[in-house]
Amino acid sequence: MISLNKCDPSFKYEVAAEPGGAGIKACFSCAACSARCPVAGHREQYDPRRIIRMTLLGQREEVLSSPLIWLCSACYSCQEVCPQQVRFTEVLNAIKNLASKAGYAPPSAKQISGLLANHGRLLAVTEFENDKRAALGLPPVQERGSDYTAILGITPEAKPAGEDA
Amino acid sequence: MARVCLIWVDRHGLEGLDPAMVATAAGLPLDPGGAIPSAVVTAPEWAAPPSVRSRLTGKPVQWLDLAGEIGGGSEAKRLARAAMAVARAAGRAAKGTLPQVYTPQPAQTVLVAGAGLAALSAAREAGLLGHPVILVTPYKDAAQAGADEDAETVSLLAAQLPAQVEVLPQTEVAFLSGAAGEFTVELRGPQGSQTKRFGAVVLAPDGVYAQPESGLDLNWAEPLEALQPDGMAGKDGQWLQAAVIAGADAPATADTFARAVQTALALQARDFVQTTLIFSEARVATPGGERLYREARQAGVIAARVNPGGLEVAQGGKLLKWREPLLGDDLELKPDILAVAGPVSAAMPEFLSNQVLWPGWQWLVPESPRFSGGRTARSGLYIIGALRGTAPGADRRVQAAAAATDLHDRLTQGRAVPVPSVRHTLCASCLTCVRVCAHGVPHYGTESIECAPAACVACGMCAAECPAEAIAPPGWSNPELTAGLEAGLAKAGSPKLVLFACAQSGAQAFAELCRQGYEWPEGLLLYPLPCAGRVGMQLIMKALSAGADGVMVAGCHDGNCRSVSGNLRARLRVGEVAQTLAQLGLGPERVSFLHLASNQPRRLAQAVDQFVSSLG
Repeated sequence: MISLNKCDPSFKYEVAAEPGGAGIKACFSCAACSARCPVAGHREQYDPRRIIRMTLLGQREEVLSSPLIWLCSACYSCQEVCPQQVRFTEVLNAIKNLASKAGYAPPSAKQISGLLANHGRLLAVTEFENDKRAALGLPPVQERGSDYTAILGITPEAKPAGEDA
Repeated sequence: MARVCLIWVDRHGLEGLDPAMVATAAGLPLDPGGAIPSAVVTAPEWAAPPSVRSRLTGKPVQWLDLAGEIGGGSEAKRLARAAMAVARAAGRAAKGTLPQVYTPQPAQTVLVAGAGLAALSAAREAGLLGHPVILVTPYKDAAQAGADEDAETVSLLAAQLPAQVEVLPQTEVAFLSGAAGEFTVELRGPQGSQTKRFGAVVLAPDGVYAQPESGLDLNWAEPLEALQPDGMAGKDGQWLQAAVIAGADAPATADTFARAVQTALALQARDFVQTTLIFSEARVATPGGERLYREARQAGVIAARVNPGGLEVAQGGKLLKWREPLLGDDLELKPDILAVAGPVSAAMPEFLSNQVLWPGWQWLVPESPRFSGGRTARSGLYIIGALRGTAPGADRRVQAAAAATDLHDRLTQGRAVPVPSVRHTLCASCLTCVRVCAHGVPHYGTESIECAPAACVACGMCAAECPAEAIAPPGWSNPELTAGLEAGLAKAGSPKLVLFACAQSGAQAFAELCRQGYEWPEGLLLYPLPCAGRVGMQLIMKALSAGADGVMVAGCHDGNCRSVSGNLRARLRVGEVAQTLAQLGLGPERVSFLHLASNQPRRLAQAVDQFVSSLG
């Protein structure tokens, strides 16, 4: 039993206010996204329409704490088929942002963001890539991310600890 | 040439042309009025006024889109081109002959049943289009308005009804069968019941405020109109919960739904008010309804669809429970504000329900643009006004006018389609009709065969296959067709040939040949039938015994039959008749079947010529 009186009506406005979340309220629950979603084909519990519905009803904790919202593979199939231009992939990014702020990000997400922050990329650079780059006349990429921090102009304070070592 | 004359219909593109000069240049007389043997008309058939069309029924006519033929240029060039086109068409018209064509005449009287704006507007419009109209109303006089209508406008309209409209007060429709052109209606009034024949029926019962959902405390729940959202506000962290119920037990009408959405929007616009819109069907088929519904969702209104009757009302409405279909979970809401759409509705007449085909409504009034303007799935039956969910005011008047125009077109342009009826004295309940009907029209009721009103397309397969001649769409029974056959054959030249042509293919190909100016054999009698499946062994044998030398059936190609198997059945029956004729030594070549499409007129011409020459 869900009590609407205990739900949080402001949750949907918060999601809509996040970058990418603006379309969520247009959803009229046709399930085009759910039918198209390749992830839903592998995990029955993962249902884009259900996530939208729970958000619209205002089930803040249930949505943000759910491990399901992290399963999206960002293939954008839902976004293509949506007749109401909900742009669910982007809506889900907004929801994930809120979940991270609330401390619900899974360990893997933290690891991934750590990799990005430290190295500017998700995969290790080997000699293979650098040989290719040399053939194209590009400078080699170093293991450490000091070059990309310089490009982005990240200040030393914002740098993750241990970067300068 | 002298017998062809020119009928000038002024159209866009013919400006500056003098009809008399064109006629002289083409060597034709201008329309002398009255009866004419054949003509060239300067407009396509659909663009010509009805008076011209009715005058030329059954005549070899060339409908010429003259504006398209002459184009632009100097006056002299346009005149020359016009004269050339008219002369060419006149040549085709003079060459053409038209065989006798059998057409049943539809009834022209229109029945309008109901009260209020929609009923009066429909009666008025149909009357002004020249139809005799009978307006039956359950009230003492015609001036009774619906619950949601302006009484003054309605009484004014009632006072101005045209003379063709006859009002039967305190009368109700007890039963109705048939379709466009041939409705049989039983009317029950203070003088007892009477049965009448109508060409079209318009149902426009007045709207009444229906009972809201059961269990609601109406002292607490407000009707939509009474709710004043101004000044309502919750607090951050303590939102005010509002609920708007728009037809939870049964779907609200589109108009009611639109008003409910508007109320929900107004409530949601207040500070810290969360509105839940509860409905069993989102009826957005009003102008702007779809947009309004989306606007409400965008504003943050929670749309909650419940199964009809699935809303549980407790404590007079202070606790609402329903099953959330998407989450598969139960939801409960204790609303601080509750608004109820007192739905304006009208009851669907009982005689229209059909337990076999449809329990409710949707089959008769599918939500498709094809059925706008009051049209229903049943040809010639119109449902308008409150019963249709149309908003009061201009919308109802426009819908009534659209229905009147449509029924006028149907009754005057041969688009009337009747429904079969059973003559019970002859029916042995062998269920052959139930078996052959592709549309599910006949079914076995409690004691006898009954026919479903709206499903029939009058293909007449039941009449062709019934061994007792007990069932047929009105106008298409064996005795009626035979009477037409005998009269027609008596007048026809020799050799006498009957062409039964399916209205979907053969008759259209025939009409195209007539447009092209085709010269038909003298003894040809054309019988357009709604479907080739109407031709059974009985009909072919009757045509032969009435003096026909040959009978030809033109039906659709394999797989093209609108009634699934009408063409195949006709072909089968023709084969059987041929076999019988061979056994009798009467010549199997006297019957023939032709598969045809509407765009194969040449094929029809060749087949007819060949058939006639084979008859000698």
